[in-house]
Amino acid sequence: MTWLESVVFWVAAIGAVAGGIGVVASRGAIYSALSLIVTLSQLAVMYLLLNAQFIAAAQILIYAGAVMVLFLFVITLLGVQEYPFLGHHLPFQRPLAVIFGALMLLGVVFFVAQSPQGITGAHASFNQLLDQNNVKAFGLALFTLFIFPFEVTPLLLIVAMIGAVAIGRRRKRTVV
Amino acid sequence: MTPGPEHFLILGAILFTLGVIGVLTRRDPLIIFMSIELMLNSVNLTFVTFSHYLGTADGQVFVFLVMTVAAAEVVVGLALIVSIFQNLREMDVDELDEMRG
Amino acid sequence: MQHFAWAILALPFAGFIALALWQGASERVVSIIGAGSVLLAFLAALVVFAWLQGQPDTAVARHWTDLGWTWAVAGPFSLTFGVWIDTLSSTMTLIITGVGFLILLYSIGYMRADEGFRRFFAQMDLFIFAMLLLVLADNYVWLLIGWAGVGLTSYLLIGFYYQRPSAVAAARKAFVMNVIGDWGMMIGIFIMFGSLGVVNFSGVFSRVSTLPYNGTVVTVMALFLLIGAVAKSAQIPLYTWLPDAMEGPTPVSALIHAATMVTAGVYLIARSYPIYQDSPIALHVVVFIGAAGTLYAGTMGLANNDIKRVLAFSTMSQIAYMFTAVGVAVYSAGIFHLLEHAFFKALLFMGAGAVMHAMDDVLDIQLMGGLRRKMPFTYWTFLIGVLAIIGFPGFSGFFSKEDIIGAVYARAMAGDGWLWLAWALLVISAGVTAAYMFRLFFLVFHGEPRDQALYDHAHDPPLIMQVPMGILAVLAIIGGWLAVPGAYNLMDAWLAPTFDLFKTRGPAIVPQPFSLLSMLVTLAVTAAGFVVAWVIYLRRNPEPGWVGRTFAPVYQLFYHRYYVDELYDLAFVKPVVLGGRYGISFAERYVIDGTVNATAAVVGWSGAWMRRVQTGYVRNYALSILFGAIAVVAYYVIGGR
Repeated sequence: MTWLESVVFWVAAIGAVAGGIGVVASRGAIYSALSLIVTLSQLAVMYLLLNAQFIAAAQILIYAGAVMVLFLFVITLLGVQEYPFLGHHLPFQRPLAVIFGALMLLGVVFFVAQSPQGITGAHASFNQLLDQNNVKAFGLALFTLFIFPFEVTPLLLIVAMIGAVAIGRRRKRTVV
Repeated sequence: MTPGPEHFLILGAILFTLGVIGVLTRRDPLIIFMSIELMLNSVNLTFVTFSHYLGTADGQVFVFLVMTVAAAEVVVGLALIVSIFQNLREMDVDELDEMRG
Repeated sequence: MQHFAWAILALPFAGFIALALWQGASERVVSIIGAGSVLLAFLAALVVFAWLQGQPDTAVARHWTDLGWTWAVAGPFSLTFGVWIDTLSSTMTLIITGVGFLILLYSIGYMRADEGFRRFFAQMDLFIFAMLLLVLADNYVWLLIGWAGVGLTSYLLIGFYYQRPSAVAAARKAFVMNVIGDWGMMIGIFIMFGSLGVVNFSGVFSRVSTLPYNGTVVTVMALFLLIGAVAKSAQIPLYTWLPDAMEGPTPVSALIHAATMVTAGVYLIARSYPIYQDSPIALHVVVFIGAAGTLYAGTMGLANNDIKRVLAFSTMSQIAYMFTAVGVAVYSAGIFHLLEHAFFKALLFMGAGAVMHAMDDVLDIQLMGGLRRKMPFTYWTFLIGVLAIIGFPGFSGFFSKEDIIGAVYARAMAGDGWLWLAWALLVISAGVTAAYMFRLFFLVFHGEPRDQALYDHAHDPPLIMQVPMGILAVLAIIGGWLAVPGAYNLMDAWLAPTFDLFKTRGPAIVPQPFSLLSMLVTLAVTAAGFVVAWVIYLRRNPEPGWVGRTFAPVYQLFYHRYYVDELYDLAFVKPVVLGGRYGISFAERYVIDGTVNATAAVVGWSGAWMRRVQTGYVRNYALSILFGAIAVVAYYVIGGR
């Protein structure tokens, strides 16, 4: 990796983490949404660094473009509210969450630090095409090896659509 | 220093942890949902990392499927949130405590 | 023809079922079914007997088993149900059904107008079935089932007059002692199974010789079986139930506690002869239980004033004679006496019943007297019975008793020194028997009536009761001529094939040489006993209580039956009752209830504590999921594969 790529990596990494903190710590939902968009775009940059152009494009189009827009629609529909950061219901929840989260992070870091040697470099099943022409390699894999999930996924989408329509429609007010 | 696979993975872990803390700590359902999205994305990053370094397209295909499912999930989840909370004064997950033992 | 053996079993059982279920049967119908089924069974027994007679006189030929069905299979062990016919079981079936029928005939008259008439006959039929099962079974388990069955029906019939507390107590006492015997038998069968692997007769008897002769296993097995025999036959030390069992109706006493059930112990020992032959120690124990019992029971009979209880003691004494006989391995003499005893004891009980019936159910002989003039038929038949039991020459008891005493004498002469003591006991008891039987006879039938009102009312029993008494009287006279000491022994010849079927070690099972000396000594002692009774009770005719005062200490001992009942009560009954009370108050309330309540309390308490996990907040639940995830990560960090 060249030094330019390294710089890009670190900038994007810091940006992603900052965005993540913003999602979690913002006072209002709208600020969290905007922070998330920041994180998502920084991740797209990461994908480019990892030579996954198709995924990077999909990330921008789908996540940042469609999903977050949907989020913003709902936030504006429901209105912005101001309220305390953490309630008085469960006093131990916040400290415990932070502690457990830190523990888990430590555990993962521990494993990663012991990373096996064979994770990089050439080996038998290394797909050269992936580096040369990512989209082509990706397409080949998607339409040959993973054809079945590819065909089932639209079914999932249709079900989700029907579900959303069924849940979200206006109901007649009945006496409750 | 030159970023290697470890860096990407640790970045993913940090984002994942942030997402977890967000889910556990916040009370606004929309923010909780966004934290979940953060977690999903961190996992995507991990997948793509491995895909790149192991030289196989499987990771990226999986990311593709995760995105699709995440999108569907967001659709249904938001519909649910809208229907539950549109008549409440406050958006507070802690109001839903009828299963208290 | 031999298949009629199954009919012997089926008929009384069918009678029982019919009587048990037929709610509104009239007395006539009940009589016909009840007595008729047993009569038919007797005829079937005769058929089997005839078949056996027709077979050549060898051990193998005069033996037949038939497999009924396989009841249970467990690995290599299978429990079957089948019949076992040989000369011994045939003899027993004839006695049970024959004498049983006569007693049922008698009962038709005796139990007339009793509101439990149908119940009585149903239970008697059940008893006869159980007894037949006992003698016809081809393995020890079914024998035990029959054994328990007669114990049950004995309980039912002793407690027949269930409104009487004394009857209920007596029934319970009999049952408890029988259960102790059942326990002993069970342990014996367990040992049998454990050491030999089988429980059916052919298996056990052919394999028992593989065990060391006179060794621990065989002896212990034999002794445990003996516990059962002792309880059932009312021998020392499990005999105290028998006098109390007289609470039941007289026909019950006649059939169960004279002719059949109490002889089951003798049958058991005779049937198990290969086991006992292999253990001379056990045989000696049998001899001494028997020999001691003859005198012991006789002394108690001297002091009792209840007509039936005197007969109960005489039963115990005579069965003790049978025990002595099988104890010296002269099994045929024991069975011979069993046969004769069935005749004259049933006759005596019938006579006692006739007296009771006439005297308004009074039992106390001190209130009787002079009934000779009012009840001639009863008088003569009773006299025949008395002469038979004391062994008057020519009557049945003489031949069978001489057989036994002579056999003991011969074995003693042959070298077994201990047997001289047994012989002496038997001879003295013969005298005591004569004494107490004639005491009873004179007090009841001779002299002047001591209660005029009862006396005026007395009369001979109705015809239906007289017929069986008459038949038994004839049998009591002629029955003994099956074997004349010194001349011939048809009984032994008949039973020989049975005791020849399995080869055994131990004393030889052959008829013993006859001894004129022993016979004369016995007759002399018997005569002496008669003279004593005659002198005291007939010539001097004392007022009641004179004997009691004159021989006070000895009399008190006999009258209170050596205080054994009180001893048992103190040693066994009281501790159990106290233990039960303690159990209820402490163990039941605190331990058992406490444990159950504590368990419930713990469950409730832990549930209430666990309930706090259900906070209702989804975020909490998510936290616990995270916690689980960390646990998994930690597992791998620590080094799990």
